[in-house]
Amino acid sequence: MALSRSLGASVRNMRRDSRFIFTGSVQGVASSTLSLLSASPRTAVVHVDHIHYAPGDLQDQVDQSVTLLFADEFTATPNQRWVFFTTPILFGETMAAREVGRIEVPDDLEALHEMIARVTAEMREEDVRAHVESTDAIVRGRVVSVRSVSAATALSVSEHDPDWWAALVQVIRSIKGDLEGEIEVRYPNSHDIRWHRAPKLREGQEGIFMLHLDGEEVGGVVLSLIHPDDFLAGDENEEASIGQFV
Amino acid sequence: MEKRRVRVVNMIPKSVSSETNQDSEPQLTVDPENHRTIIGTSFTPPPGGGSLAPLFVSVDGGDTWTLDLVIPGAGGVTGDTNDQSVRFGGASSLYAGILRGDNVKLDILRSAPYSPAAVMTPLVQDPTPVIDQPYLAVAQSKGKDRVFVGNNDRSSGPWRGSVEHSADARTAPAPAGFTQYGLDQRLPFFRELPPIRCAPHHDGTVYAGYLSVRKFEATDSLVDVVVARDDNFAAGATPFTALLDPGDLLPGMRVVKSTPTPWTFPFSFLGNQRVGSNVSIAVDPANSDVVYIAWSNGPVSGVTQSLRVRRSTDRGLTWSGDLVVVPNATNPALAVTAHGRVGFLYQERVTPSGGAPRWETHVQVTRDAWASPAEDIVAATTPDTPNPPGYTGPHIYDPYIGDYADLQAAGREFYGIFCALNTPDLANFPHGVRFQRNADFSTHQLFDLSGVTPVANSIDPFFVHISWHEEHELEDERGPRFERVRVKGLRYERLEIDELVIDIERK
Repeated sequence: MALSRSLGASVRNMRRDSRFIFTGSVQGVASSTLSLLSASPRTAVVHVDHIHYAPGDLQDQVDQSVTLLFADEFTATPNQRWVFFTTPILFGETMAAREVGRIEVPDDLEALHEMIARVTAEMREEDVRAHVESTDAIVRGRVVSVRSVSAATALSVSEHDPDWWAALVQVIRSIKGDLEGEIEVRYPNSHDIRWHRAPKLREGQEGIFMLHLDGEEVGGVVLSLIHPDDFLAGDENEEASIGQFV
Repeated sequence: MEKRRVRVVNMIPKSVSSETNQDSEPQLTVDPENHRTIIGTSFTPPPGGGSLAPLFVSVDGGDTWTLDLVIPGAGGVTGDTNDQSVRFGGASSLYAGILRGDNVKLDILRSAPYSPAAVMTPLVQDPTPVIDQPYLAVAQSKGKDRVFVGNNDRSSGPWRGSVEHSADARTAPAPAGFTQYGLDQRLPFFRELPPIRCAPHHDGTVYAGYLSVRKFEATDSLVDVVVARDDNFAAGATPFTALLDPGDLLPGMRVVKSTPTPWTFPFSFLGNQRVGSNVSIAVDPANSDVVYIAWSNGPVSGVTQSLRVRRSTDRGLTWSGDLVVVPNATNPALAVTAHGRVGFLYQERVTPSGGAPRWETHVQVTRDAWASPAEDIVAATTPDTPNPPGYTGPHIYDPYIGDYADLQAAGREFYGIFCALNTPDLANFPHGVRFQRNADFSTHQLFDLSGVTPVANSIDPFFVHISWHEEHELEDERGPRFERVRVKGLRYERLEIDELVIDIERK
């Protein structure tokens, strides 16, 4: 049984503002398990029965007790079950989260879970779309060689210097724009905290290159990769999922 | 009889037991209104993601810690908030200087007073990414918080040591009057190295320590170790010009001239940790004439980097020789207590005979400026590798344990923070350690929140607290399980006891 239209719209909106969504049972009313969050009529300790959405590092909160800071003056009663949409705020002995909203546990919990998964997938697609739109060109290619193009010296450098390198890339096909042949692309070879997530290319790599004109020309190279997802070792399916937004 | 107590606590909370982040580069501040409230930072991303990075908060004197997601600007291209510095002011106000993760620009933030789960408010948001390594210092005067943010600034070309200063950061509306001053007037000017450190005193004296490059060489940079001074909270028309070097009559005493420090590009390393520019400066809270400075030096005689400490007792005009030299060390942090104890925290890379390299985190404590051997407290000795034996890959990012650690004095006690490998092994912690995250000290294994799934080792921030107590004060801390009978000054001519009940310990 699908969710009602109004409930579906509510779930959709709350999912977008939440980072931790779960079905939980109220254990303690007006209580808190964290010293940094005082117990009040707006707090309750809730057992996490089932997680509908959480990033990987929060998946182990299942079967744990979390302290909720309700969005409104909500009179919870022990053993009540709700689906809570929340964002984490504190991590101590246990976690505390700020409520975005809540709904009664629907009869069809599976439908709810599917809706949340669908919205999550939509959000990821929106991120991909935004990323594609932020690029100036996209190609599938293979790295022929790499070289340093950094002009940094002890005079000019900070710990956060990108240490630019350039890769010579043989274009296999253009996905956005009309690049062909061999092109040079710049990437930050630095392992500093500022740049460690950025792609680090090596000879022989093949994949999808999401390229940006960042306003700089270093070593004669104007196209750059700076975002962690600017290089994807993806197959044709991934290429198609990107190409749909071009 | 006075007894010393050393506490070491792994700051990762239990609820994030599964984390394996490289939580390096820590800093720490103690609330002067209540020493049981302590706040720390490190390169710790927000659990679960999002745009708010965490502070580490303790309200019980450092025994337990909570991540409080209140630092804006996480996420974006880098994914992590970059350099961070925090200091308490008066009335439990908290200040932070950060390089945001989303746009790598400087924010100076305030929470007045600090309140859990309340996102810190921007006072200053620099429009362009030209600042490196913001580093805070705070002094209270006449009910106002004087906040100093040392930083390295390339907005005018070369990297220049600067100080952003507000005379009333606690109550003034944003931007709270923050004004930037350059420190170095010497020519030719090349650059300052990243660490620009201030040490304010409540009487208005403010010292600033920095490394000014004189020459670049293949294996090092020759620097002047410079201390500047202001005598009125940088409130005058020409801040930090009170201390003139007799050699050239320019502001800033050159404590050491043209001395090598291993600032190179590509960077120099001690093991997994990049090195090349360290400075720490501390003023005696009881006497602003007395100031200490520590800095990085090398390579000398095959040692990539050593740390050196010197002292001035005449407001920076003349300086001692080296009071202490520690080879193969980094991350110096100096602090002076109200009773004149000097603490010197640092991290030394040692290779035991027949063993693998390790990072030893030391706190030396002296009452006589190293005229006699200092107390040498080893808070931790941990392998210089982020991974289990046999792993030969690179560490995740630089800095490995941090481009700085921190030591603060509050009252007569020291509060420190450092980063190290988190293997739960008591052999790594000579004074013991407390873990909040799930850990088995018999198998030396970390576990996730369920306590079942093993978790790989990584770099964690550790809190260290060093205090001295009269023996009976320590016994008071044993807690409610113990009852005490103390008899003092018993005088009697005739003693009759009908009943005497003594309960020693309830189990």
